[in-house]
Amino acid sequence: MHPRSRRTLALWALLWVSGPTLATGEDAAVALVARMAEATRTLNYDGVFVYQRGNQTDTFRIIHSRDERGGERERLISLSGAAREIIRDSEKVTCIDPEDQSVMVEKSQPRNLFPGLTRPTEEVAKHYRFVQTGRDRIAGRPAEVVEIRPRSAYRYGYRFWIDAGNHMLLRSDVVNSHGVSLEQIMFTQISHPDRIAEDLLVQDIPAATSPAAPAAVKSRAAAADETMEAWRVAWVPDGFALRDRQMEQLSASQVPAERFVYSDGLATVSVFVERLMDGEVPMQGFATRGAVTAFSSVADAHQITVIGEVPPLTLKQIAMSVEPAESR
Amino acid sequence: MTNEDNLSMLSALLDGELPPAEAAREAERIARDPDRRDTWRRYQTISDVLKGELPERMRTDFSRRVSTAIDAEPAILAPRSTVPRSFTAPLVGAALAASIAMVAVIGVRPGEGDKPAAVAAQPSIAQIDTQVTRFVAPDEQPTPARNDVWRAQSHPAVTPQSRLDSYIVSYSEHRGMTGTPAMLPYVKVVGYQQGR
Repeated sequence: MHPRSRRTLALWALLWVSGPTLATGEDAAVALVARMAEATRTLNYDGVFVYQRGNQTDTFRIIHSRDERGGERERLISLSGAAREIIRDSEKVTCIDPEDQSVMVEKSQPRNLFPGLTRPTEEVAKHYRFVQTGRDRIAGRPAEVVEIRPRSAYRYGYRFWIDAGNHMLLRSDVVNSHGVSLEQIMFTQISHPDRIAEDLLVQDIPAATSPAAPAAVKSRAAAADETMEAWRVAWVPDGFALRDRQMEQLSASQVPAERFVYSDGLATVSVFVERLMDGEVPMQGFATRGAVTAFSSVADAHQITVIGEVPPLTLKQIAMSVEPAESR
Repeated sequence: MTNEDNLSMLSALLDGELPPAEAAREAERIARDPDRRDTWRRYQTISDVLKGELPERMRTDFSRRVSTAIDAEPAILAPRSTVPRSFTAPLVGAALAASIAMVAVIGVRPGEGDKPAAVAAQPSIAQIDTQVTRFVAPDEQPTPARNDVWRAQSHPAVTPQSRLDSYIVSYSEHRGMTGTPAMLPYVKVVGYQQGR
């Protein structure tokens, strides 16, 4: 082979194998976010963060531990309002509410925190632009700022402040098309101990109120004998794929609803179609809280509700496209 | 009745374990006692969060039991009656349900600080400054959250708001599963035991 061809070939091979390290700025931003997603699961940390949406701000403490013996464990404590706690390990999740004096326990689900981001698919990159915009300082630590900008008006954008040293997520914003932050999580202090003390991962509430073992740890059951109605969502924005579909009996409803869950790796949208019963007052229009908006309409004596972390326009358009399926 | 007895009545009701007459009596107690109602609302909403985990059969059984237990009188639990089926009062309940929805974002229910709700009504999109989300009908005036606790009881049907609550809770479950830029794992709650 000609020496120059061989060198070109070698360069291409190197690019292919090493990926982001030799690639463009965009790929570097993508890699940074992927490393961040990994870091939130693998690092030990103990920190306090604020969660803000609109005019409401709440604060929390989170303690997270990952080691060979215990696996991944986590404890979240609300610092404002009622002192609720959630403790999670590989087997179970415990939710403690001192006001109710109740303790709830369930089986842990295996979780992939950022499936769209740890392995950035071509689809995600097709619909979002990853841009590294500079440096900032959060919780006293230098951070790289990465913006994930949607390529269309159908999505929101995200902004991540990533610890320049260990890639921990220090701040995350959901932003609309005007760059306005709809909701945000930001650490005000954080530390990364080599080892998390055991007593930090157990509840403060006296042992007498905690269950020795969950009374009945229920696993997900198959849908009831309700047959799925023939409905179909004719349109979702390009890049959204159907992730789940089943009948669901909601507590405030008299009949099960057909539920579709769509995701593009970053944003999730759920569509519910529920038959309206006599005398039921339907929901109509929009309701918004933080980055999540719901849109409801009525068609064919059915209530169609679309909820997602996407702009209202998107929800409405999806809702308008819901129709009876021709064939099952 | 001790506090513990109260809580076990409520949980039995939620699990569909009360015989019909008991269920009706408990319903009445809940209607009359604001604290009991508050606790019931929380249980109800938390049980919504369980929606994906509980066997469908269990939910249907509960609904069926409750509906057969109550006759046509306007009782709180009567599904086809003139009174809302769920105890989840529209706005106060919405606050908690929406809070639970936010659990999906960050993994925990935020403190339920009872801030007075100032609902800012927009023609199409309701941007809420408080814990509350709500649909604003074209001719409807926004009202403070607390008053709606009472409106719920006299409203002629299952309120749109309580339906929205349950949808949002369901959404938040599946949001956690498909993986969004959420800070922390989503938490779902299934069974429960009471503390002292």
